[in-house]
Amino acid sequence: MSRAIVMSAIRRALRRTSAKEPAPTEIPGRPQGLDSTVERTLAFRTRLESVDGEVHLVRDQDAARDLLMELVERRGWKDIAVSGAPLVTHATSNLKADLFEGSQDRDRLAHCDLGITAVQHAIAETGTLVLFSHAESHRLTSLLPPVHIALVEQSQIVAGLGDALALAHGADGGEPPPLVTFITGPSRTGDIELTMVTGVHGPRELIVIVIAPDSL
Amino acid sequence: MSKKDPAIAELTANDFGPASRRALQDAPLRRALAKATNTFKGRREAALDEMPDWEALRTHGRAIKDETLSRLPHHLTRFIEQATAKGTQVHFAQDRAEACAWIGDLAERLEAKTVVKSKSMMTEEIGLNHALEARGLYPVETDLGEWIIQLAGETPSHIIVPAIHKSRESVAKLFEERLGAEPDLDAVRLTQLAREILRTSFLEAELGISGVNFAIAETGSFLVLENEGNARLTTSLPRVHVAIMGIEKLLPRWSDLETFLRLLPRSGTGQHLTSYQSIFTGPKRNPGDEGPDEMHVLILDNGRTDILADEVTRETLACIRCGACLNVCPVYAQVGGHSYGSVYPGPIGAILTPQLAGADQATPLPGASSLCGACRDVCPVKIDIPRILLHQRREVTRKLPWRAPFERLGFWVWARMASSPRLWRIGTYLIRPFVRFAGGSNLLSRGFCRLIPPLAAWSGGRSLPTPAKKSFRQQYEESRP
Repeated sequence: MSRAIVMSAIRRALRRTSAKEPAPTEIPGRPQGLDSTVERTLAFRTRLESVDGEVHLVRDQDAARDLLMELVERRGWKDIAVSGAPLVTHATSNLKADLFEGSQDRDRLAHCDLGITAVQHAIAETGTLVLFSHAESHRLTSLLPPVHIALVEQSQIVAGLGDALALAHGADGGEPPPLVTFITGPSRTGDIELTMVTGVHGPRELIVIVIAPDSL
Repeated sequence: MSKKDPAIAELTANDFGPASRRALQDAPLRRALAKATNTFKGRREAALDEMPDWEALRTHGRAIKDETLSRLPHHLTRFIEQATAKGTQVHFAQDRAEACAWIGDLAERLEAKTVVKSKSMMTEEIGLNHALEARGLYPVETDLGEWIIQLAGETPSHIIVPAIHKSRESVAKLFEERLGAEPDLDAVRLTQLAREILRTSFLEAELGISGVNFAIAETGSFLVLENEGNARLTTSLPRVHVAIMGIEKLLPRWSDLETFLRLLPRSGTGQHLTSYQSIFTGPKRNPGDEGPDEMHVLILDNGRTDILADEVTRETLACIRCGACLNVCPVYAQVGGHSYGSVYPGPIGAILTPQLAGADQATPLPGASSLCGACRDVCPVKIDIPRILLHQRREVTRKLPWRAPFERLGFWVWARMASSPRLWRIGTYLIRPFVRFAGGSNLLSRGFCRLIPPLAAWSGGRSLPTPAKKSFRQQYEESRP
């Protein structure tokens, strides 16, 4: 009922207006010179570090596993949520901590120390992680714990926003997945006198481990 | 209809005069405003320095918006088809009463004891919180700034930073009184406390309400930008997610997001990208997946089709609510958001509020500008705000029966004088002693100004400049050898 009324009001409002040409397909503002894997990796790191993300480059999956073990030991993290992606399973295989599937227990997730996930893509232009909800159960594991560690394969880093959007467009059987999440740095707020505080609702810290055989 | 129940909740825009004079006396408010607007201006400029294609981006963004508005029925129909195919339920409401009633009914059907909300200007516009409270529901604002405002029982004063008018001390005092917090906490501790308290609400909530930054006709998707993560929680934890949007939020294509993701964060906060973007395309597809079971999109008119019908002011609907025009506006920087008496403050509020609520509900707002044009220059979609302000001023004046003839007479006299050198010389010769007497800031001249009606209003905040004893022409003649 209201739909018909609103739609006819819109048609009435536009009755003397002719359809405008579609906007040009050439999209301005795209990043230049991020053609090689190494350039993209370094740009991704620079951008993410500029918004308080912590980035580590390691040579291979085993090095990622060793680094993770060292971080967990040093920081004293005990209760750790994981997303169940193969990359995460390998990297956490010898952790001496309580691991659980984050998506299965949201109350425990809300009180645990750390969430570890993989990602589907990353964006060099902005230092952004790209998560597709159909590909991995990382929606809450990347959000509720105070620290989020993301594992990224160097080959997943695309140059710009447009590349990531194009990949998301048909990712889930020709359609966009139910949720595409872009993450660029930790959760932050400036709502009290513009004082920047991290970790207001989401993770206080974002640590990204890039498995980058080509950069080292 | 607009007379009984303005399209904007709790509208007091006709009090702009007294409200802005009060704000000018409020030193802490003006310090906070100066700090905030200068900070945002600086951050925005720094971000634009690294984006050489900024002008091309603005042009592109505007072209997409114009294209969308010119074929809005087509794009809306496509959005409905696509969203429905992805399992999203699409609803329409004509005005705020209908929208609030629909959401209230939904919350009752869900027997929702806790409702969480992420920041949404549309829900502010329709006064959703008060409407739900009247039905015994207490929606919890989860954006830190919005939550502070809700605890204080106030309204937002900036589109991006709703609690910009509150000092850290006043927030600490508020938390102490309302939440039993320790006294005088710093920003970090205050934020931590908010996180702890709001976590409980998130985990209990049955219904999450969000706004929409952009909706995509091609795929039936919509995008929400944020920095805090509260919108992600609001849309991930409750069983049901409702997103509320105006009819103008659409973009034709998924690929159009790219341009707006470059425009909005840079304009709003000077960030390359905000911490989080969520693009939703339907509820979860398998029972074991994460995410809500039900997803609804509520599309509102609430006065927008009237704006669309007016070809002169239609471009107001291109606004993406970045708040950049507030930060550069010399009027906003002095009087703050509350003076505008509307959820939409600053230059965009000055043109949007009268159009949504009716010109008679916001008569002073088109005048709340120096017409300097800074708002037009920063607008990421190139809305010509000064042009619309002038148009609205003309409309306001036209409706004042005594003012139109008076101004017409005044300008007729001026035009005659200015087009005849002889009349000009005689006129300025005769008027000079009067202006010299009235000019300056001594008591006598101020008192004199106050006696004459049009000068009285004008001289309330200004002193008439004192002209030289002799005109330039006289001095020139005399100095010739």
